[in-house]
Amino acid sequence: MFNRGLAFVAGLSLVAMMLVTVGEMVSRMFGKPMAGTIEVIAWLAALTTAFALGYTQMHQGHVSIDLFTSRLSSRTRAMVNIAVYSVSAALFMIITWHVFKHAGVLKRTGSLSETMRVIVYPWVYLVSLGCAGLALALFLDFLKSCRQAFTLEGGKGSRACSGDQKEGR
Amino acid sequence: MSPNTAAILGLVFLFLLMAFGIPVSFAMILAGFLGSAYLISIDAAIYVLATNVWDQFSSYGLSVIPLFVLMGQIAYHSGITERLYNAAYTWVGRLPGGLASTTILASAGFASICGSNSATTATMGTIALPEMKRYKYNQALSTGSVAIGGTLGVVIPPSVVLIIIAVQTKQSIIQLFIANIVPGVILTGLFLATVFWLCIRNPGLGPPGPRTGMREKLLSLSGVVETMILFLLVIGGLYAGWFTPTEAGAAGSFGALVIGVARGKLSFKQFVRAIAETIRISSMVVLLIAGAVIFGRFLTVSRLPFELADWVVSLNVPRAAVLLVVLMIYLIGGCFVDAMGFLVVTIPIFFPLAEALGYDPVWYTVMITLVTTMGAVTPPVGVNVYIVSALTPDVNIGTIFRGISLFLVAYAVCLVLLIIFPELALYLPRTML
Repeated sequence: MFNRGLAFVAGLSLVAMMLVTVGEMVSRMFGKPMAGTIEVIAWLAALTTAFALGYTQMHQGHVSIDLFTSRLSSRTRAMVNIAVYSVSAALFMIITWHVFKHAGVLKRTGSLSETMRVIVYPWVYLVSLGCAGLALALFLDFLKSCRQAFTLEGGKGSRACSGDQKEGR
Repeated sequence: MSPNTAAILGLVFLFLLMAFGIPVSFAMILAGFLGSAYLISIDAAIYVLATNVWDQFSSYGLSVIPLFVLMGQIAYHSGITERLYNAAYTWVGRLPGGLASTTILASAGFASICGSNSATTATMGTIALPEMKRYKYNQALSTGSVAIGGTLGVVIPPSVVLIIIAVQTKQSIIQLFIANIVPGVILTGLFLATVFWLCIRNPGLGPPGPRTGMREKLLSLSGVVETMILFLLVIGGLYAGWFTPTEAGAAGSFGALVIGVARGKLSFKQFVRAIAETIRISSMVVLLIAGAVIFGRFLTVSRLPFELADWVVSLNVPRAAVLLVVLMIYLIGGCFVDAMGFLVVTIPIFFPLAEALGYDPVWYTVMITLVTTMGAVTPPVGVNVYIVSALTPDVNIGTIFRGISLFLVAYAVCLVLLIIFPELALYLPRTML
């Protein structure tokens, strides 16, 4: 649910990005350029792409190479996936945390955008939220491969890692 | 450990991660982060990580990506392909191999408003493959022409791959788009010539379609008009300097949306599907770029790419030989690794080399784009082949690859032409200044 919600916002933000850009071009044609459009578009782009990170992972949309892993038996592949997803989830938890902290730094220093002179840090928090969505999706994939590995082993351990994967997505 | 050794180990580590199936972008972020932590300090690496993730996601320069992807997706979902196909069909359908030529021409047309080879292949395949089956086309020729036509999606601007290279190498997106126009047209012509030649020699491969009258031919052009308008608006507007790439992408998406709605072909459901697909692709691409930047920073600090470049220059071998080796690496790499992933990983290594050898960056970009694009149709990992195969489950994958091999000569000829006459790529961008 979480990542679907973020993806919904990402989609809206994409449409807004298109409309704002076209709107600015039209108003420029009438001799009334809107200052700061570039900043707004960049922030909307951040929302569009960062909020879709987890949704993309749900669809296995982050490009990877399965040339070697596709030849493994399904159980070995599940084991490899456990490693892959735990490392990836950890990586994005770290990224989420540090982007979050970076937002805090920008908040404290009162950093403003160049043209419109408005605060930037809320957008940084939002990007960090998008990264959190990806970390969550990866964690759920991790649980899923745990379940696969244990189920394939004989079914006994399947409960240990199963969790409720649908929740939170 | 010297910085160079660290960089080589970093590369090995990166390839290991990717071999285990970690997404390319994640692997580059991780390897780049650990490498910077080792070479500089953990604090610096954390800083690079946090600021780069934010900087790339919020970069105006990258906002062009979702917009161009959206334009292609809307075009994909709004039936533009069908009309392009019908137009091409009435004009060249009755020539020997006419349906295969139709496929190539319509692919080229669609490529001029869509920057992705998989979208071009998928959209063209669904229309062209059943038609060619109906006329009992040779399976290798029919599937091969769809898969190879799809590669035009990347070569003919707009192109997401060109945007990525431009961002990574700090070149102008506009220049790269314009530079690829002539090579794209040449490649299309060579594909058409290949079809024609094959079917003249063996008419059984692709029997001609029915004859069409002049009236029909002229009427069918209305199906091309909208694509022409979009292409002229976007690429023409960029060439004339009317707008930035981001604005061109927005104008193009909006235009495609208007056409789709006006024609009554784009339902709300399809629009939502286009949006969903767009945010997934864009998110993947932007994270890939963020990864490339973070990994590139590590390589830059290690100075490996520059020392490699200096070393190769000091060898005093003819620069054409070096170029050949680099192109071979891209060709082989493209066979095994996703083309986009391979490009972002290798650009920080080979781009400084090409510059040190004195190659024009625009020309070099055109060359590596062509070579890596071939990766989409070469075994064992040819994306387009799998798309075509999914659309025609009764055709053996080997047959599709055989069909493609007929067209690879065209690619080779195009590359040779560009080597002999670099102006083919460089003339148009120069007229912009």
